[in-house]
Amino acid sequence: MANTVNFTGSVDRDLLKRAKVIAAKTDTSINALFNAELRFLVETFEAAEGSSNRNFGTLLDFSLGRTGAVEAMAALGIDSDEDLFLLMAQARLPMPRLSAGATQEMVDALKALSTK
Amino acid sequence: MTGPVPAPADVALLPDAGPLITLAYADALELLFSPGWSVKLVDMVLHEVTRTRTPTSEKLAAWATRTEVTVLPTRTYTRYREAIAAGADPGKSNLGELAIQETMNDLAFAQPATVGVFLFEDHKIARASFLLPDNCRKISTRAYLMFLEGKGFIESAADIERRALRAGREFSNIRFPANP
Repeated sequence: MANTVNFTGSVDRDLLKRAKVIAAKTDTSINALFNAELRFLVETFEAAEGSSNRNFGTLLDFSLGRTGAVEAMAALGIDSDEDLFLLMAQARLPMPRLSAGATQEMVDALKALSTK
Repeated sequence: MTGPVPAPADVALLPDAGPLITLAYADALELLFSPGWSVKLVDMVLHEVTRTRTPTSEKLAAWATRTEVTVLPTRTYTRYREAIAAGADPGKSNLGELAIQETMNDLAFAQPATVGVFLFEDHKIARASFLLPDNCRKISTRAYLMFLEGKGFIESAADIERRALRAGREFSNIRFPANP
């Protein structure tokens, strides 16, 4: 691969574990998967920007937690959580995510309510 | 917040619109009943997920009827309907949150004491500022599914999320067809 550079980043541990499984199943590398997905994101964003379509940028901001659902829906001209969910799915962007630690705290809170 | 484990009858699970939609796409609404807690819907939330025809609106309306889930009335929804009937446009932004906050407030004084488990999608937990009474919990759909997985009610929380995403992608192309 020509013109490549190394860089340092961090990734959710579980996500990396799952990515490794995919890489093994598809006989490729994490590096190749990362490049393919990053390229998809960049090219989709640029294509939308090139056609003056701000929608992908709005969805990306929502995905990254930089804007709320109400603001995103207003910018997209929709008024339901479901349509926002569908547009995120169509754009292949993940819904905003709380940290693994915050999620585990909630799991523990539920366990404290259950004896089953 | 530690103390004796409440009886299942004293715990109410109240899903917001997001979790209902996610579970409807995953065809897994029945999971709301798995822990044996009562399931209740805030009237404004039920209205939000059924008011317009969407891939899940009829499924959710039918599920709510079939399971005879309790629908909790709120002043927010009553006033919303009154405004609509009067020909006004009350808007919709944050009405679901207002109705949920109202329900949380009511639960704070509920007798017999009830623990309210409010289910939200992650983004609402991160951004919406609810004033949470001691007997209420804010829980994400993901955390709820992981809890069910830990208790053996489901094999995989991630699989349920994947099912919702798969169905969402399928329906999104129907609801929002790409421009030719």
